Amino acid sequence: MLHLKNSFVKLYLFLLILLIVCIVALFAFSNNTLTKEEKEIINIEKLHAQHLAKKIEEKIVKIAPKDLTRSLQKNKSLREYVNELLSLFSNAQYKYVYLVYLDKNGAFRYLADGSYDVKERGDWHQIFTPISPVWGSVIKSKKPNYTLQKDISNLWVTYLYPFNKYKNEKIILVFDISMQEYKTLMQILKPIQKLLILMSILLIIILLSIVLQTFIYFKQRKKSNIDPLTHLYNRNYLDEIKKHIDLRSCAIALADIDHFKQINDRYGHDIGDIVLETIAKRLMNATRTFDILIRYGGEEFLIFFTKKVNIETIKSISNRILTTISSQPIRVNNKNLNVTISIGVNPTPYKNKSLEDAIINADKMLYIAKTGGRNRVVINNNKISTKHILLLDEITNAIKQNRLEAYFQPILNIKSNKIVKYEALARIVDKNGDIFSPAQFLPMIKRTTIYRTLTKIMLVKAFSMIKKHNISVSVNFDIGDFFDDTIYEMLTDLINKNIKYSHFLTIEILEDMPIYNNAKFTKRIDALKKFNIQIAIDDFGSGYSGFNYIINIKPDILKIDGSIILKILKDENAKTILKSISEICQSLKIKSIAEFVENEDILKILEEYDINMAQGYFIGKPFDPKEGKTKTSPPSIKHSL
Amino acid sequence: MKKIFFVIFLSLSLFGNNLSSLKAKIIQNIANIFTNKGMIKIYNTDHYFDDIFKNDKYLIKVNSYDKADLILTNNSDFFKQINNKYNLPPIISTKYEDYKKHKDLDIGAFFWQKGRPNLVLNSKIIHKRYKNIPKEYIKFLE
Repeated sequence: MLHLKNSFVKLYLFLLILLIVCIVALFAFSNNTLTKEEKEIINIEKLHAQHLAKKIEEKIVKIAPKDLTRSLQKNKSLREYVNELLSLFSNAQYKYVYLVYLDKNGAFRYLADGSYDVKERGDWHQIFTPISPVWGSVIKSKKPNYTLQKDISNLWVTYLYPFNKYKNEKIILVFDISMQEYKTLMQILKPIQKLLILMSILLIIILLSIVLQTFIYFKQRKKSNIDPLTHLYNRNYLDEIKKHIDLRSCAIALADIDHFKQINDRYGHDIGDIVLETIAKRLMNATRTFDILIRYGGEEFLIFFTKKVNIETIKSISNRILTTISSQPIRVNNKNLNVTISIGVNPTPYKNKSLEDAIINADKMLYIAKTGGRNRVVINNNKISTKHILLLDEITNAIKQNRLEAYFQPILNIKSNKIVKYEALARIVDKNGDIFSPAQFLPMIKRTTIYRTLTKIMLVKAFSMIKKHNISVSVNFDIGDFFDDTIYEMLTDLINKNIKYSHFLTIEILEDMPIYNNAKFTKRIDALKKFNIQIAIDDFGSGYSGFNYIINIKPDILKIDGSIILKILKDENAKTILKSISEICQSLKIKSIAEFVENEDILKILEEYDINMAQGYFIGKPFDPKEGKTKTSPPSIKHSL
Repeated sequence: MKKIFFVIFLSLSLFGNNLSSLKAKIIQNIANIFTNKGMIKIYNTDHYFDDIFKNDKYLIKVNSYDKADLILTNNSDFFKQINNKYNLPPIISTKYEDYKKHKDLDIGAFFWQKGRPNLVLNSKIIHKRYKNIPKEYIKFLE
């Protein structure tokens, strides 16, 4: 959050400064342009005046080659001639044209005056009072110069040209250029000035509009990057930082709220949202200000540790997250919800090809944390193999590319020694031809759309098998599937479409969680039974399974958990439990299936205890129907396929 | 001289648009050549200089030239009125033409020519009536 805010503030400040600079620059430019133009014109005027001054000097030198002051003092007609000569150059533009000299006392005095306005002419030898130091500097430097006279009424520029040919005299020829000239020029320049000001205003408006647009854009962008519920970044932000994040200086963690689905199912989405909000706040508190938190999925959070990414620091922060979240329950509607989180960390994302791969690696660590008991942190220390874990994208691609296969494992009727049933088992074949079993991918997709798609494909394949061979096929469901309206509707829809074959279908219910909404669950089980499908309880004797399930579900089949079967050769208690289950099944007229039948000795005990059916590698391994029946069954077993 | 140039230049630069202040400043400087009084009483017949009293608290307008420390005039008839009088305060013509005609009475002239303020001091009268004037004003003597 801080990162985005900072960059936004920086950019906005930059734009504001730019705007101010532009305003100042534009005004300066408009004024400077005018001054520049004016200077250019003055330069032209200077050149013109200089040209005239040279001509006048040449003329006067011709008639008085030496000692001009004395010549003019003595010779009145010469004074008149010079006055006349100067007057030839005086007009409305060159308002006053006159000669002055610097006397011994340092006073300027008129030598001649040919000014256009006769009343303004100075007398010979009359004191002249200059008001600018330029006059003195022209005498000293013996170089022409000019001075601006805007403060003197009707005058614009005074051009001063020293008569250097009279070496012992300090004589200056003066042109006072009329203000009218300046006004005329200004009138020409005024529209340009106005145009420049208008352009400046227009540019400022455009700039203001850009600043405003940028402000709105960033506000919108910020909004689009923030998850409205948790106020953390969302995946849009991930796309944004993807381009410039330096994987060498960060570590990536993926955190997932444990059993969040159950919270949602049990307490509703409103409380689920409160849990998400609270977890987000606790994540913010537990991480550092410069770490980046992104709500990655429903209950998944992506964390970028951006500084000090050594293993010890990451471990410390990750454990702090676990403690912060689990240390106190979330209080909602007078209930205390004990929520935990699992975290998978990829401390060396730079070792991955891309950010996506780095996240996948963190996801695999998260998977290990989940399967390892949840409420824990798993950091990839390069010793953990992630080869046998399929992630969401890989599963999605496999389904899209028809690499999801239904394998079928035979189930033997022990008394008739015939295969009477098959269990449909999902397999994903990866691009290299490696086969992945449900344990390697189902936890990753539970409660996702992909899971529903996978369930549908498996059901379709199961019915296809049933229709082809008129044989009973069982398909696995977990308790949660019966609370998923989409899955339930899809199941009933497919049964209706294959109603002729529905009695061949067995639904094996995996007891992987307690049933919170018993009424809804039993109602749906009862409804399914009306289609003549068989209901089996899977893994009976493990996990959440209990006799209560038998009462609630009233199953047709009990599938005894493999962990009990595997022990019956050596463990008397296991044998006793098996015997008890068998007797219960017989009393309740429930068929029994034993899993994990790996040898003949186990099969014999099962037969001895009146177990109805057997399933396991001794009976037959799961097989791909496209490749034909399993080749591992003993020759005595009769296959239906 | 440098001082007065500086004053004029500075005045023009800083108060370029306030001609009235400029005129008052120059008149005050001229008066200070002939008197050490802090408050300078001026008898003025030239309306062009009427505004100097509004802008300078040290310049006071008087209606009788007898009471004045300095006379400013552009009126030729004025010289007829005072022709025979002695011990008059210094008279400054505000027209160069008048000054030229009445060099025997005028101590100097302060007038606008070519858009510039011009000061001319009458050396004959000054030398007669005032033994010394500040060095910087020697340049204005003619």
